[in-house]
Amino acid sequence: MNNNEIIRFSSLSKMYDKHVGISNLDFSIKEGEVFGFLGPNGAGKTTTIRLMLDLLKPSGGSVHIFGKDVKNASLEIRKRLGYLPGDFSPYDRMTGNEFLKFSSNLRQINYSKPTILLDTFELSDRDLNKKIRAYSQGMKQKLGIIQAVSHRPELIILDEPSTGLDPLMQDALYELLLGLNSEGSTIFFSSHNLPEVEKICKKVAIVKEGKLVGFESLESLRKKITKKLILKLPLDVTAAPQLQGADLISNNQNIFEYRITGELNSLFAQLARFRIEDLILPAPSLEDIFLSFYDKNQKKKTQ
Amino acid sequence: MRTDILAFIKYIWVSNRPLILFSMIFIASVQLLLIYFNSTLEIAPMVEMFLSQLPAQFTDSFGDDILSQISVEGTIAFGLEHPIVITLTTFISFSMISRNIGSNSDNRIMEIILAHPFDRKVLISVLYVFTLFILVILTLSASFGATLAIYLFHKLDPELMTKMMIVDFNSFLLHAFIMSYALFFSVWFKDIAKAVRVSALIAFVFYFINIISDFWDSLAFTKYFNFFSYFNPEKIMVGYDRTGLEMAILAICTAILFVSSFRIFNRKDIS
Repeated sequence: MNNNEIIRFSSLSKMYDKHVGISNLDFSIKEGEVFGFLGPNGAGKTTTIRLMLDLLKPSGGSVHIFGKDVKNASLEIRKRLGYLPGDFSPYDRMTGNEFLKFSSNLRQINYSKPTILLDTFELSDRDLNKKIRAYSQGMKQKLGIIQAVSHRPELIILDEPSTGLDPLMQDALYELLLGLNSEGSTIFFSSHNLPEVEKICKKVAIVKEGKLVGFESLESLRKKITKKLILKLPLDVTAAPQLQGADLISNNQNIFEYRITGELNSLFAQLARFRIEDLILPAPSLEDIFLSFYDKNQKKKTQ
Repeated sequence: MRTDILAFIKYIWVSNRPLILFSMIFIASVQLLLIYFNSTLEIAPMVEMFLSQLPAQFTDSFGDDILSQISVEGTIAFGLEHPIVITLTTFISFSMISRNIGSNSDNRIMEIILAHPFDRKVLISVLYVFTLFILVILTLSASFGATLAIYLFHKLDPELMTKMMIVDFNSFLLHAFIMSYALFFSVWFKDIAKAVRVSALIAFVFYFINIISDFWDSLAFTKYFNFFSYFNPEKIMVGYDRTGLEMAILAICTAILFVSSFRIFNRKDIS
């Protein structure tokens, strides 16, 4: 393990009764990174996180965090991290305030009200004094984020943190995480939403069906992802324009969808010839990314 | 005491408080009322008349038992082995243990707790000891109800009180055993609902077998394997020389179940 590696997965595998949770995960994350862990639901993201926290026991391989094997030093590691589980649902007979105290007590640290965080997420004293059962999913999520970061941990592990948050609160979350990162926290951000990962992460790992299908800097990921172009032409145009550097995927009357394979400059130069009513460059979906990676992986295998 | 342990105990207490308080009051009241009725009503002639109308096979098997329960000693014993009292105490054991250590899709609190720097070994030990403590409290509630009733309607007798304490301890050991096997199934099965179903089924089946084995000789051998037959309040009240041995067996089985659960929980996947 290199000195600046904070997390190292070594051939990590987890088998459930009949299916693979995660298979041969092998990569590392450096200290100070904001790391995106991308994959659709059921890809093995949560399994990986639970292996990092020693909640699950690996079927093979190991995870090292802060240079220590999770299997042997889990307690010591957990002292130095903060965690937000997916579908965060704390004990609902507690009030928000009681839960935050409970969390501090479990960490054996003195509780002090995290005023700045509460302001950031617009949780008032009145909200904190309500029973959690009266909270909306968004309020629970805010409480979960606060308990995960309020002790300024060295490593923050977040499983789908923006679930239930409105766009403004999502932005507040990204800003908070970038702030914590600038203060030295490493962030492990699990998500199935590429645009949000793009906003804060510099490096990503992509998993599908329990396997690592990509491990890239976000910049190189963007280059690899197949982009699409949707073109809307006047109604009288029914034949799809032939474009160099773009393959037609589908057409619906006067709306044409292309997969971009060449240079954008040359493509836009060609488009100047047409009377365009609308042009959309849709954000690639996770499925597009997986297809890009899968196609490449499949090609590698067959070669 | 460490703040994390205190916080966890507080969490268990808060999550079970209404049921525990209700059970304490209910169990104490059952003892008090049974002894009150025993003291104020002429029950014996009524029961004897009732028994005389039943088939001989039934009265041969149960007649003496029922008559012995008419005394104060018998009433105390009956109060502790009353099906409702046993069901309630068993339910508390299942509730405290299974709900706090098991997991299912609706209950992810265990994941949240163990993501904190809180040791699994500490968690299961604290939960176990605290549940034992609650069982002691419930047993003491029964003693309190009985003692109060004896003080009010009879006479406090040191010999009777000693026997009552032995019965209470026997009752505590029985419920500690039931709680320990509920713990075992809760750590063994992935799903809390399955653990509770199996634990409850075992309690029900063994309780039922224990009753019918009293008058079916062919089932008498099951007594050796039935934990309910190691709880004999009536026999203790009239003097029973196997009490120590039977309580030792319950205590040893309880300890074995806890050690096994402890080991399994340390390796268990929490999800």
